[in-house]
Amino acid sequence: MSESSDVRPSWDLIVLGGDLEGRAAAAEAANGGLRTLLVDEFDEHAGPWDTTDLAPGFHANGLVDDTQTVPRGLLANLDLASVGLSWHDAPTPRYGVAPNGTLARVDDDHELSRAFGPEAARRFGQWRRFVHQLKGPLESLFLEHAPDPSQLASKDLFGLASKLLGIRRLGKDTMFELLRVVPQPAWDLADERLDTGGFGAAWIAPAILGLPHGPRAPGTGALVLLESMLEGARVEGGPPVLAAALLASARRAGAGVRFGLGIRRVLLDEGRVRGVLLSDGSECLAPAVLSTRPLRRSLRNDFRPGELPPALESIAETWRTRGTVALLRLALEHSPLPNLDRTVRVVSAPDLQTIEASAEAHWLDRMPERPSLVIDVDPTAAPEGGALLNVQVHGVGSPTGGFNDAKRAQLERVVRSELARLFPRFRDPVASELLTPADLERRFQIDGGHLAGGETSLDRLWVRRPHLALSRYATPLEGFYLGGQAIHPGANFRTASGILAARRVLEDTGRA
Amino acid sequence: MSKTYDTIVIGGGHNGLTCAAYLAKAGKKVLVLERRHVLGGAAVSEEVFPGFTFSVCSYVVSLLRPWIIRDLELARFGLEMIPLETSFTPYLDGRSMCRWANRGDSLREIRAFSEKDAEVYPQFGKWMSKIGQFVKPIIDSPAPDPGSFSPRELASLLSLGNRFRDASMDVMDFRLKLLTMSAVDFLDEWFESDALKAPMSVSGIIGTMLGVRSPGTAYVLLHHYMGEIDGAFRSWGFSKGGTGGVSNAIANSARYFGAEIMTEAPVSRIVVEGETAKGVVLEDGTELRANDVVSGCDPHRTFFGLVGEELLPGEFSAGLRRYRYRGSSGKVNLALDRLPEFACRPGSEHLRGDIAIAPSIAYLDQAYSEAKAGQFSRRPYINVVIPSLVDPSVAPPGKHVMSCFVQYAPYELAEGPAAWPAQRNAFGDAVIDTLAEYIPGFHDMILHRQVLTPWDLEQEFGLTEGNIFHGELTLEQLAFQRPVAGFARHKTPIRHLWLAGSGAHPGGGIMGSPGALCAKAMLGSKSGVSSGGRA
Repeated sequence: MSESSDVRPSWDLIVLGGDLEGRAAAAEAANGGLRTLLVDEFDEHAGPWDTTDLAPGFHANGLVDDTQTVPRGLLANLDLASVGLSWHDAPTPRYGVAPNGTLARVDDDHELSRAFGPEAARRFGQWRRFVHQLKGPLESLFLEHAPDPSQLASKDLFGLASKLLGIRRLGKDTMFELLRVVPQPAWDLADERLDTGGFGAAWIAPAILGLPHGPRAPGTGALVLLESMLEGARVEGGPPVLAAALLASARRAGAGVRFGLGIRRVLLDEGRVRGVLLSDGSECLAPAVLSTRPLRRSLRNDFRPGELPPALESIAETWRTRGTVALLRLALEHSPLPNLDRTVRVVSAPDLQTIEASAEAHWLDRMPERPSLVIDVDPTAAPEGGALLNVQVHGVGSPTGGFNDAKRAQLERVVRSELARLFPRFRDPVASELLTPADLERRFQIDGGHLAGGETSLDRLWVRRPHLALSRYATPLEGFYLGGQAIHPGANFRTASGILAARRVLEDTGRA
Repeated sequence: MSKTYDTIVIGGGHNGLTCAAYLAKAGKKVLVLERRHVLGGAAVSEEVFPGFTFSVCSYVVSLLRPWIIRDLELARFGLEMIPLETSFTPYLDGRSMCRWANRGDSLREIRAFSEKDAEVYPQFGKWMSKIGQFVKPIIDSPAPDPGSFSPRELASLLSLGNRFRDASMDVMDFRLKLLTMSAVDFLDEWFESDALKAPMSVSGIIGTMLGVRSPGTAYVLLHHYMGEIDGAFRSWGFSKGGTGGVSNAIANSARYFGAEIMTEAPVSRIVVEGETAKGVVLEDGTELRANDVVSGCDPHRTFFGLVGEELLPGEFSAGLRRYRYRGSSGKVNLALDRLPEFACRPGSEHLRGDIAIAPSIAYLDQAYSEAKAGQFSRRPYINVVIPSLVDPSVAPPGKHVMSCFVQYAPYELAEGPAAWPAQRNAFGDAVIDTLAEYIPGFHDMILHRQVLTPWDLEQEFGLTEGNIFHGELTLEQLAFQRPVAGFARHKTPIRHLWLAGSGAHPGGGIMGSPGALCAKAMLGSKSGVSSGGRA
């Protein structure tokens, strides 16, 4: 590390952004021996990671709905158990619409066979075996640093070659199948391996929520594969508990934490990072800054015009964050599904065409007639007997003239009528909250109101998330690193980009 | 039983003929069997109405490989190319844009819509041409085989990887983007004007049941830049006398080298004995024997139609069942009384190339949405050419032929594909009504019309589900996966049966590559022709 200025920097690393990735990065860096400061504009208990009360006794999650996507193995260095974190090992039950119109579980052989027929159960078993086989090799691609194609014969490339060989060793057929699935439309994947009715829809809809496309779009097969790889371990107590544990781990390792302070800008000195100027006017000095903030926002707002190198300027320009998902939270006195003791996930689409029509409504400037919904029914966030419904509506976009009151009312109406169709026990909620992409952007300060920090289409995965030259966290601006959901491996693996980015900083500073 | 050939080629399309010509040139005794009375398959010219000759299906020559033109001496055998010089887009608001062979003129036109777009347009062309140089070798050589551990295959994969890496990070990134992005997203990174982006984006969807916003459609934009330098349209052109001119030149070359070509000789099945192709049986019962059989038909027709599923290994036929066709386009050919004039721009200089009815991205979104719901687009994307403007031989003096490629016309209608004949007229009307919005008095200039729905393309030209490329050109159906993973090198599970059509690597378009690469694979293969035939 260089000591170019007279003042010895007070920190080795400043992490911008207090969401899961930022906290994970701060904890990993601090535990790795770096003097680390974590800064976020939100208050510690009022960010996207926290719950709010929708009505007395009803706790709605912020932006982070679920901890199922967190790759637990990657958090090993943080010793989260000792700060009170425990994992719950049962995956969230998933329901789809059976041919007879009722809801049935799509993740259970017996139920599948009963509601969708034995062929569905057979196919599901086959799909699960395929996914299971690929899990190891794919995780080795996604949960480690992305390879650097510019480094000739580097360990990166040898590493990549050996990972690819690992896939090849699974057998020619498995490799060919993988190469078919990844660029494939989810529709074709479902047609070939699940079905194009409610069973397939229940596995496709959640996987492609972050896209301005429906299941006919090529490349969505990859997303279904990634989503299917999730083991389903969840943090006991949900996102707020995980967020708190990550922070506790960072603090315990000596990290400084400043919440409720905006970033005025990143300080540069002769083209390299010197520290950060905060909104209270204080300067924090450090030779490295890692931003896990929403990508475009961070690049646009945290620098002065003209300061960014062209590569960063261009990614700020081209990073796509078209939010197409609205959140509707409903507080229900009577759970629409009886006798629940844990959250279950319900997918409303009876077939793939419903998802397609819902998703494309985004472009046609019309409200989907039957919106495709991914509904989490959470009895634990409500008083006894009740449930909190967390509904993700796919394909809402930004209608001409924006979401005015009439459009909001219309959206809420179509969603509620879909819910009533789905759940015979559905009654009007005691309270509800609709967050359109524009609302999400305003409230949580996220780019375009996009829940995954940026679109997850095929061209923005792995080495191209967000760009071939930026997927390895370091940037052309010396000392400036990028983490966050917009960076490899991104939103499909929460916390992972923070951890991996911190490891990159540790490597670059000789601490790894 | 009659005489024996080294090779029988089923189908006198441009790929089958190319394959035959290469084999004949190498000294093989070759017979080509064509079902119809004319050669060319989908690259065919026919005098549909007296005096009016149409490129009935395929209407422009895109990427005919220069090395094939040289090897087969096609210029000598009558191939004459007329470059497509303009690309014109009319809009309903009275404006229009024409891109010309001359860049300065194009920029002036683009500038009228966006100063910024005019500024980056030349740079865009430069990038695309540069990337095109990377892709060219791929369509000119056999598909890679990632399933093999043989040192030769590994080395070739490695060299492909090295070619990829042999560039700056930006260039590598650009290549990955092109392969995976949607045409619209890709163009959005460069241009702001819808009027420019819409007609550019449509090249990504031609022949495929995808929208301009579907990922993976950016790649095809590249094909426009793979011909000559600097991104002009020189690689695209008309063939004199219609696209059948290409097929006829190849056929002449094949005959010159000694190939025998029979038309009106429909094959009813391929004779397979002990998992080996031995010859063919014609519909009239004649049996013809050969050491090798080459099919220029699409994979479905070849294996399910001519071989029979019961003779195929289970895995292979399962792979073929998953191979997607999903024809998405139709063709409307019009004989016109006079030269049509566009309201937004009278005159004809700008009509000598192609004309795109693609006024906005939203228009294309709507067209795709209707297709997904199982209807033909009420207001479709239409690619119009008027070859009689540059090649007077195809129409009587003063009259014109207009050829309209129309998308979307989904094979899979909501009522099923068999509903197409009942909707054929309505489809033709939709196309003509759409054009009439731009061309005053259009209805009155139409002397004759020929409407080809995807159903007709299947019935008449043997294109399964009406797919003009013998199967969708999507990532999972390209290279080593075309048509089935592990069988992309023209060989099939039936010994001595080879695939030479667009359903083989590198795919559709009037390229000639699949046919030529098939012949090369046969000539270089130990189990192929060169062994002298073990049969």
